[in-house]
Amino acid sequence: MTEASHHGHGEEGHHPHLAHHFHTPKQQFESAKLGIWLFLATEILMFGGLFCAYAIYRGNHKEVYLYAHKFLDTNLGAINTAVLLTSSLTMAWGVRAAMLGQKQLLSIMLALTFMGGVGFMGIKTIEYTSKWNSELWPGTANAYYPVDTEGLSSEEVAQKEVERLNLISNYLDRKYLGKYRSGAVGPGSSYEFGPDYKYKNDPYFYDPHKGHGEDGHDKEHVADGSEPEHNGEVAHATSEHAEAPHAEAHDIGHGEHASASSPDDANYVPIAGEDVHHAQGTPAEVSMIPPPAEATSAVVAAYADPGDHHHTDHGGHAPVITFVDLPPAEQGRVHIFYQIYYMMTGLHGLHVLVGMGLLFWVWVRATFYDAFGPNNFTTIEVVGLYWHIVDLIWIFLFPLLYLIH
Amino acid sequence: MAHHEPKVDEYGFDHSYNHPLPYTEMFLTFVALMVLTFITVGVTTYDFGYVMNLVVAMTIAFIKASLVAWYFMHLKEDAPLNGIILISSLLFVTLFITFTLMDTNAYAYFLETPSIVSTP
Repeated sequence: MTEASHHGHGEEGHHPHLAHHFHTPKQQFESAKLGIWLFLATEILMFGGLFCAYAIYRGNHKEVYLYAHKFLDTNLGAINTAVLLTSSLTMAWGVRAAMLGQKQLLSIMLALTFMGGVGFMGIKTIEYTSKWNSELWPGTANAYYPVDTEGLSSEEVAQKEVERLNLISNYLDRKYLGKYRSGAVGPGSSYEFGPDYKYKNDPYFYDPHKGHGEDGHDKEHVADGSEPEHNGEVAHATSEHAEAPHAEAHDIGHGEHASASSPDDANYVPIAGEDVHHAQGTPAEVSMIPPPAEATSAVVAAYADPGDHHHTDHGGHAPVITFVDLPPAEQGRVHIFYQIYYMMTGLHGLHVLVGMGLLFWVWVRATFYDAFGPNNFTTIEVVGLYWHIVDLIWIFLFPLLYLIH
Repeated sequence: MAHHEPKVDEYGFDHSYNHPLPYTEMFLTFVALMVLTFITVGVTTYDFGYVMNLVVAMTIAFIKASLVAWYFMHLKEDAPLNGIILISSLLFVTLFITFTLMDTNAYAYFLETPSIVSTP
């Protein structure tokens, strides 16, 4: 293109890569970079909308994030981060090669960067596939999506609700607990989740001798075992909503919330100025019209107040949240974490694909058309900046989605 | 700002904008990014509390992003305007998120019922 225009106008001594409307190559280069930086700023603003959605939802539903993010594979996320950082290195190396006129090295580096994109998308595909096989689909197909009651008889709704809770409790939470148990040593390390497994009776999570002495907690464990829980009996699955607060109060709350979850207080409405629950970090949106049991969620309290003693209660293990531990109102909201996850990683993945297309194009031009050199590397530089901003966004996405603690 | 000697091509134009990234800076940046990635993953096994863990993770991410922008994206050698564009876009995102969170947090935690109304 530049060659043709150069020979076309026939001006003597005209710079081959300088367009008519620029005075100097330096001005041309800086204009191009100013343009791409303005574009990158709009990219940051676009992702900013998603980061805002993330922040609002995380601020209001901490326990949903703490629970749901455990289904993401931290190792794959970390490997993907390394892959993307390496491709950023090869991209920067490629720009350097273009600036120095090392044409073969430039071609190699562009190809390597492209392969980095292939690797990233490949790992992303593995992650998405494993989620989809676990019915963690985006949208209403997500396993956590509440049952749509429209046009169904109450029996059908009940049946669907039982199926949903069964899938979550007996399949997804088993996987989730297995993630915690992997690498566990001592009694129970060669351990499998049988159908009658209850993590609350598992000494790995609730060892009465490690954390909290013998101040009556053992009794509560016994009481726990006698309660009909989610051990594969589908008939009881529907009653889990009602039981969850009780279980929490026994296990984590040390009884101070027991009165709030008793049936007498079921219609209790806190009045103005009564801000006891503020200190417990109750999620704002949930509590606009709060069911009292949810307002006293010990799970919320345990995570909202880092100074609390709950972290040492279980022999040094962080509290484990399973689906039944979530406040009832939050149980219907878990799927929204996945919508945010798919939107953020999906839009990022789309950018990786666009970047790969650009890289392929400049690689063809560099390899077969000898299009770039020390006086003409603006295209490489601009594609490089785009590739780096994709990397930059992933640098923030990775800890926000995979490393919630 | 490191300034190179002027490079003039055969047409008499200044090519001093051609700043190849030195190998030392390039590889040190990469090593720092990888080390920080290991740290940010490893640090999640420690419990600093819900908020502090988030702060630590975001601080590390911010350092990583700054390294990428400063060295790989050539902001070190660029006209300051490009850096100003980047920072102002980040500022506007921060404003956007801050005001939205302020709005979200402005709502009452509980439905406030007048105290003379007896609860059902």
